[in-house]
Amino acid sequence: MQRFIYILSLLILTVSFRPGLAQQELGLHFMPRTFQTQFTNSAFMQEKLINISLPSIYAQGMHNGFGLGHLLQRSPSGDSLILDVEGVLDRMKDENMVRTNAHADLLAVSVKVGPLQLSMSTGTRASGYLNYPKALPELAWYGNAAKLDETLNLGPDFQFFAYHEITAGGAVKLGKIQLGTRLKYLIGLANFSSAGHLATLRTNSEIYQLQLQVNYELQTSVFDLGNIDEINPSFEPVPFTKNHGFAADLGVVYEVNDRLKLSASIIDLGFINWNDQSASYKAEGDVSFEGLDVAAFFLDDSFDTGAFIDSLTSGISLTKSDAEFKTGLPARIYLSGTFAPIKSLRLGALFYNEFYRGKAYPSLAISASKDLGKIFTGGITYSVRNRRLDNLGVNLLLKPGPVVFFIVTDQLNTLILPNKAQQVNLRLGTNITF
Amino acid sequence: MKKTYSLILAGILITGLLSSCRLIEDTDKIITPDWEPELALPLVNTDLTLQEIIDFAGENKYITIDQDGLISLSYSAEVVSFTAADIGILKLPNIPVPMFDTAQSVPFPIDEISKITLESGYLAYDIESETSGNYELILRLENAVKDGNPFEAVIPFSSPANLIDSVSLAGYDLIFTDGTVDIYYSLRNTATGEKTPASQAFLSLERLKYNYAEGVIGTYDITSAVDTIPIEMVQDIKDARIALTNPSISFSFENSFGIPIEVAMPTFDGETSDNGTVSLGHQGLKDGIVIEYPRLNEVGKSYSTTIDIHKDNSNIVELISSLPQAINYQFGLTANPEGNANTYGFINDSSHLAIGVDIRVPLEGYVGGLTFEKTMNLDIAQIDMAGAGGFKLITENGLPLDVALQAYFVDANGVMIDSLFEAPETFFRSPELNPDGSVQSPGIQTIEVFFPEERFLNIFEATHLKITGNLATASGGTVPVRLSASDGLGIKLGVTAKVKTQ
Repeated sequence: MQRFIYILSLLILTVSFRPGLAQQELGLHFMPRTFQTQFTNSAFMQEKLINISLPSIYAQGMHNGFGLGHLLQRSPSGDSLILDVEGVLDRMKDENMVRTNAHADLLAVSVKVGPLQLSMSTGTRASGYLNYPKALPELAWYGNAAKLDETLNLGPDFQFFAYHEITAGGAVKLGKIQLGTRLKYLIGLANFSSAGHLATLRTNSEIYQLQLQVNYELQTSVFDLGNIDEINPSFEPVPFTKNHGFAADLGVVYEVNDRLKLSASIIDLGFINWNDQSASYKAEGDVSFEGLDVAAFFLDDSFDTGAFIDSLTSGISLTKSDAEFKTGLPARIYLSGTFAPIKSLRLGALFYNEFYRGKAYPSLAISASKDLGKIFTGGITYSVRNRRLDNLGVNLLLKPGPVVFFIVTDQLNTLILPNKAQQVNLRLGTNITF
Repeated sequence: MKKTYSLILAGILITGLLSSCRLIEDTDKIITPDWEPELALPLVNTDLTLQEIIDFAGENKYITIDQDGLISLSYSAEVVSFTAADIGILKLPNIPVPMFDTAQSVPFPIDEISKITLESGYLAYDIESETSGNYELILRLENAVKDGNPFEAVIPFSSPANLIDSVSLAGYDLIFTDGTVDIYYSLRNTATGEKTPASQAFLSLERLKYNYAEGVIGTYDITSAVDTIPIEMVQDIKDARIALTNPSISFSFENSFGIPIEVAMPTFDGETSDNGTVSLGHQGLKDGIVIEYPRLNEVGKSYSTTIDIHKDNSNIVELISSLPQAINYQFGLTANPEGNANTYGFINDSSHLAIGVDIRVPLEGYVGGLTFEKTMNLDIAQIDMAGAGGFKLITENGLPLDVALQAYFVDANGVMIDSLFEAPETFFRSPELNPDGSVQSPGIQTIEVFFPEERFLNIFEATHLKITGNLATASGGTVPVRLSASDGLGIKLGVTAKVKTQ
């Protein structure tokens, strides 16, 4: 027990130092009576023989820089709100992240045949990611005069993409072990991402000479910015493109005994090749502006504005090229254990980690759920993620007959104290089980 | 238990929803703070040397740079040129010769001239013959020789007649051995060869113009009119103490007269701003200096004589330092000043005396108390977006000068609204100097001025900017300095400004 507490504390500390990105809500992992729990471990098998998942939605938003309540402060008189920009800037970290996800699962079906469970599903995913440096809003708010002799990192890193997902999966129970996999065919709908995001600005305290360094690359597919000399954005999405990809989920469940189960899974190990209307835009170079050489102006008796602007911009090369590129899906792992002291009560613990754009974003959750008869299951989760220890979630399932209604969120506290919230997720769905 | 749980859950949800609603309800009462980012930008970053300014000016005959880089202002020109006619040397009059006999000698009016080569001239005659027949008028001028042959003219006529005409003497040398002109005439019958005298004969040498003359040239004086050279730039300089420590003037005399000439400058005065006069004190020029001249066997040659005037032989430093607004000058020439009877010389039609002046003023000296003032129109479009601001000026001064400036913002009624500095600020600080007055290392000055918003708004009312300044060389203008072509200025200027977005 002590060892367990020690390990749990260590995990909490580890998780506390990394912002969580969790594309998926954690509470869903602890809802075995929903078909969608397979999205967290392809080895999870349903109780019922046939499960049909009707269209369901999932939405998630996270911003680890500040919450709405930090930006909008109530005035002393209490009758209005004050936009506390400086307070928010003080709160920000050096790197701040905004993450949004939306899933629209159109249809999913699973069928059990003996020890085997086969499943298929289709849906659309949209993901947005923005990592912006604190220096960028600070520069906009305070101006560069407040940041003399500092090299300001201004380049945001972002990725916005959407894709269709068509999956086929299977799980098999072999004694105490369940193995599962889902194979996914992906169709990329659009992509607008940064591949290199170096942009720095330095203002010298001598006479405020400016030095700008840029090494920035945008990769787009279907979303077009136009030509370098005439930016003209256009976005004409189509339901099917030539952007193909593949991914796989792998999972295993081990039944230690009839009360304790251990599970492990890896989700979305895959990629999408973007080559339909794909392009790369690059800006690279250095520009320095140290003031006008008025002596040259007087000696030449003329000032060529065009030549002057050219001298400033010639340090930066702008290119556009047709380019194919590949993006990896954010792979996730779930390591969990579930203990059922009594049949209708389940206690669980989960270690979750998401790998995205070269970094890892772990989270830790514990859960308790109770079946109230066959109709209702309710559970709560407590998670540590995104350096916050106040994530209280709830998952509810109502099954009046073959229809299953469920709702799950990891941030019930967002509903109670929305002004302090920095992340929110919610999934709603309806399944039919036979 | 289930009921209690459900109630608790419902309570939490309702509380949360109410909180959300209140937040949503109040979003139309959001007070936005003033957004005033402060921008910092470099404006000017420039270096300029005197060499670059000189190069920009192009080929400039007024500025010279020696091998050490020392800059001098120089001026060279031919000031005046005199010919024999200008001086009035050897003006040849007409010489009437009434012929009382067929041969007559008359004295040449310019004695001691031994030879004249005529460029043009005429022997005019008025002869009356009363006898009848065909005759020839024979005229002979014994002094006139051309190609070794004396002048003789034979003019046929039919008598009786009154012959009035003239014969050209161009190209003839008039040679005087005893200072007289010897003329002979006769009327000869062409048939018989008999010579008869005219009833009346009158000859004259007229319109004589020489292109060469030699002999003992007399003494001739000429003094030119006083001429003035205005110096406009000095008129804007007030109350300054200026000393240029090593100016010089060289007068060059190119003389092709074959006679000694004495040159003097009775007038070389500077007019000062207080209507005073400073005269150039150089004893030689006051008294007159005899310049070199070509000898008899050096016809066509010219000799140059240079007179240098500098600080050691004149008061030229005092003259230049008085900041004359104009220079009045006058030359006086005396040909054969001593009237020496043994001074045998020549003059020809190209003989001339050209006087040139070469003024050289090295930029070496000191300046003190040089003040200047300039008022210019100021048109500051009211920049609604600008709040407080300031500027930072860094000067790197490689000129041996201290320059202090003050600027006043003045409204349309001439009232001063504000000044740029509390007191005149030294914009350029004189650098460290070497013992010879040249710059050792540049002087660096940093000036920062801040304008709070209320000052900014006041300045927008200004319609004029009045700039006053004070310039002095190092150590308050008491130590001589020297300006070299490599000296220069570096100016860096950056500005900050708060941008008002509302």
